[in-house]
Amino acid sequence: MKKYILIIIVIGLVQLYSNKTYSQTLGGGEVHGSFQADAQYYNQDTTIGADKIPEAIAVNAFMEMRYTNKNFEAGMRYELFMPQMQGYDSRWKGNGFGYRYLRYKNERVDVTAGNFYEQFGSGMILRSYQEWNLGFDNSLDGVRVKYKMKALTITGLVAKQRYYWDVGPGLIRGIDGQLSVNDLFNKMADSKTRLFLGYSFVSRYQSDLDPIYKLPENVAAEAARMELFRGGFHYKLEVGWKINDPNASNNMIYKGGNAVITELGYSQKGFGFTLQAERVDNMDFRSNRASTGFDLPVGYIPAMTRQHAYSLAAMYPYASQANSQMGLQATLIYKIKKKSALGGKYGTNININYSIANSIYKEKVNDTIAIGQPGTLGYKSKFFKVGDDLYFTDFNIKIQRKINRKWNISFMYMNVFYNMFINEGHAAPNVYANIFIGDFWWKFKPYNSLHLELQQLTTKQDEGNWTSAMLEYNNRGFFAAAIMLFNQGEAGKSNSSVYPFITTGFTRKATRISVSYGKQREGIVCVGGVCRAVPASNGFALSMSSSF
Amino acid sequence: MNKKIIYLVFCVFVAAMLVTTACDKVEPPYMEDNGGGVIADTVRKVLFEDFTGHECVNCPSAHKTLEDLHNLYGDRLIVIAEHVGFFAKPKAVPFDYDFRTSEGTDIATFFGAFTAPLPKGMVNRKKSNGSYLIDKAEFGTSISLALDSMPTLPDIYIQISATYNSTDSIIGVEVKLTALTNLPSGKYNLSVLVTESEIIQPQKNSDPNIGNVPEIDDYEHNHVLRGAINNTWGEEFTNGVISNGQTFTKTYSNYKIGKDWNPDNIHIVAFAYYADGSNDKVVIQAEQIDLK
Repeated sequence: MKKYILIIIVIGLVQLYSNKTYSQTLGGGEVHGSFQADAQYYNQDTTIGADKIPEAIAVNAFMEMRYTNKNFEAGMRYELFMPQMQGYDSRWKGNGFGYRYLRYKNERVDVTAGNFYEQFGSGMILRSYQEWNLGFDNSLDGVRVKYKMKALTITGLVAKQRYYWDVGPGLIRGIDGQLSVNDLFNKMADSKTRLFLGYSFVSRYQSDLDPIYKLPENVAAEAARMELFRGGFHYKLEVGWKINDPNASNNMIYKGGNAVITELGYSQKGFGFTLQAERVDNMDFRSNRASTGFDLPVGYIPAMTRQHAYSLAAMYPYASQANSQMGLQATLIYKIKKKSALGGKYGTNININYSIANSIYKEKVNDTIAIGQPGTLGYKSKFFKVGDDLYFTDFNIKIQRKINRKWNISFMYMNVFYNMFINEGHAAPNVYANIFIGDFWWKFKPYNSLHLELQQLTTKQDEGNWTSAMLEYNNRGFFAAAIMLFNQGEAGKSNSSVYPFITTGFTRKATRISVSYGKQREGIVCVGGVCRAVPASNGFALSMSSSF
Repeated sequence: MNKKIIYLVFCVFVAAMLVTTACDKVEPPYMEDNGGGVIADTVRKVLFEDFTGHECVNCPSAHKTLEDLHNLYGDRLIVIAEHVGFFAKPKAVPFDYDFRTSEGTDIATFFGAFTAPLPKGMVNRKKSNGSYLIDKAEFGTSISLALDSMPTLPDIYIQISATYNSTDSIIGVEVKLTALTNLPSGKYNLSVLVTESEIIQPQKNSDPNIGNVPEIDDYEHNHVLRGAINNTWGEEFTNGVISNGQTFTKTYSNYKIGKDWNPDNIHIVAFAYYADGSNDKVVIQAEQIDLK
């Protein structure tokens, strides 16, 4: 019965949305928007640890609309978590308008009142953003003013931060200036070298009612940045500081924080590389000093690691550590020329990437204070000295070649080290894994293709080896895929499990609808080093998205 | 044009400097010195429920925070440690001791602590920022709000007297409630619970400043909820308006303690709370005495 209801809903929505994929006009203005709904039916399945939920079906959905008329813009987003899908924070449960704003914008001035997303530089001291698939939204709710001149853009804001269906207790004040040096001096206007400078300042006010600690009520953070481009080269540097901010994530220590992120890159046709380095020391900055986890981050420290798309390559993702992290990443892209002996008719792409993340070095402030002791400076650190704990390493190489007009194949190898305690917060042996992936596209007729993806993960730790095979058929917008995932289980134990999964759907214009059925493993989803645990599930799922 | 830009850049920096000077660099000592809690009888007290578990690695640091707060507020802070959920399940030796109680499980389930990541605390069963449960870093602030931001004189004054019969391990308790103000019409409940301190059992730990990591073999578990003398949610002591000076007395005579409980370390905790309306479950006043 439930199956039929789902099918009817699908057909209904297809008809509703298939003819609404262009913008609408209303009173001389334009209306744009998007819609997404994901529903999952949960069956109990003790073999993979999947649970039922009392409501049986969980639905996450949103609809966003934006009205623009000349210089005026207004928008809002209705969100629904009834209840939230498994793995999303239970505080999302509910529905309502979680986001609304008014905006006036001309060439010079841009004023927003209500909710908005903003990022200063790389986001080190201020980044508000939304990741629907993570169940993450730290939008600012207040007033933002941007003033644009030829060379300089100044942004100022005062806001509180969204906290599920409420706002957090801290008040955020920020100012940012972005300067294009080339536009400032006429002499440099046509220079091949382009230079951008930026500076930002953010302060959080939160009252101190704590009876034990003398807490700073105004906590300031600053960051300065530069970006330089010349020819194929680019260089970026961003440096940030934060004054004493004893908080839940640093265990109430009074040390200041600092962070450095730098990147050097080069690219030309068929060749490119980037080198990145970062060092982060006590920079977890939130609009509530008592918050941890996903709650109320103001600053954003990216994970300097590759975000993998293949499911087994993404099995052990790195979670960024804003309080202690030293990381390096190098990426090399090279294309072996086409019509050469090695490169083949269409050339061969090689992509090599390596990243490593470590703790920073910490030593005692003095003989009487233990490292990290609450109510003290906590620790001292030497800038260039690497800490003892290895958090993560990832070496991966991908070779991709188009053989002929019908065949496109790629192979990937990856070696990963994953510190369990740091990334998942529980004591378990660290994981050393090797991953092998083969990816084959066969376009056997125009607009018709078969896609085979084979993956193998080998490790002696955690849940042992995994094997995955996926076969997908594509015909214009239509797709159907079957995935078979197999877990051998821990060495010496007979706890293997199989996760069959089928999915089908189509994409038409800006609408995508898919239905799937099967088992999904417990796992971790990360976007930019921010990670969410997803429990195992078994059941029907329906997903649709559309924009207009 | 360029002059204007340079002027603006200058303005931004001046503005930033002004704001920068408005930030609070705290100089040592970083800890407040409030000089201990008030020792008086008719004083407002707070009920703090500590949701914990012997396998919860971050719980010892929460206990440390509570200890610091106890040093500050003395007897005005009444703690009940409720071992609940995943982290409290008995596991293989040495984590085979079962601290759980059905009352603790019911309370934790009602307030959402049963499935929450621990440690979590709850002050006077009152919501703050839309949630009953608070994180470790909010313990101090929430307790301060419940004590320092409220009149020192409680709305209800609670007196407990207890007897212990060692031959058959029976506890007898009398609780007398005296209203010190007028309270609106409604249902009012009294809960009487039994807790025990100085239970030596292992505990998982992640903080090297507190003890061995990852396990402390001989951890001292304090204020552990052992059971309820008058059921999980207590019993109604009145339904109606309470006027200043009004008294209520409740007597319980037949509570048998568990075999492995040490009567020397047992406390009796009693608290009065609103049992209906918008303040449903909110604790009005709490009191605690040692059994012996």
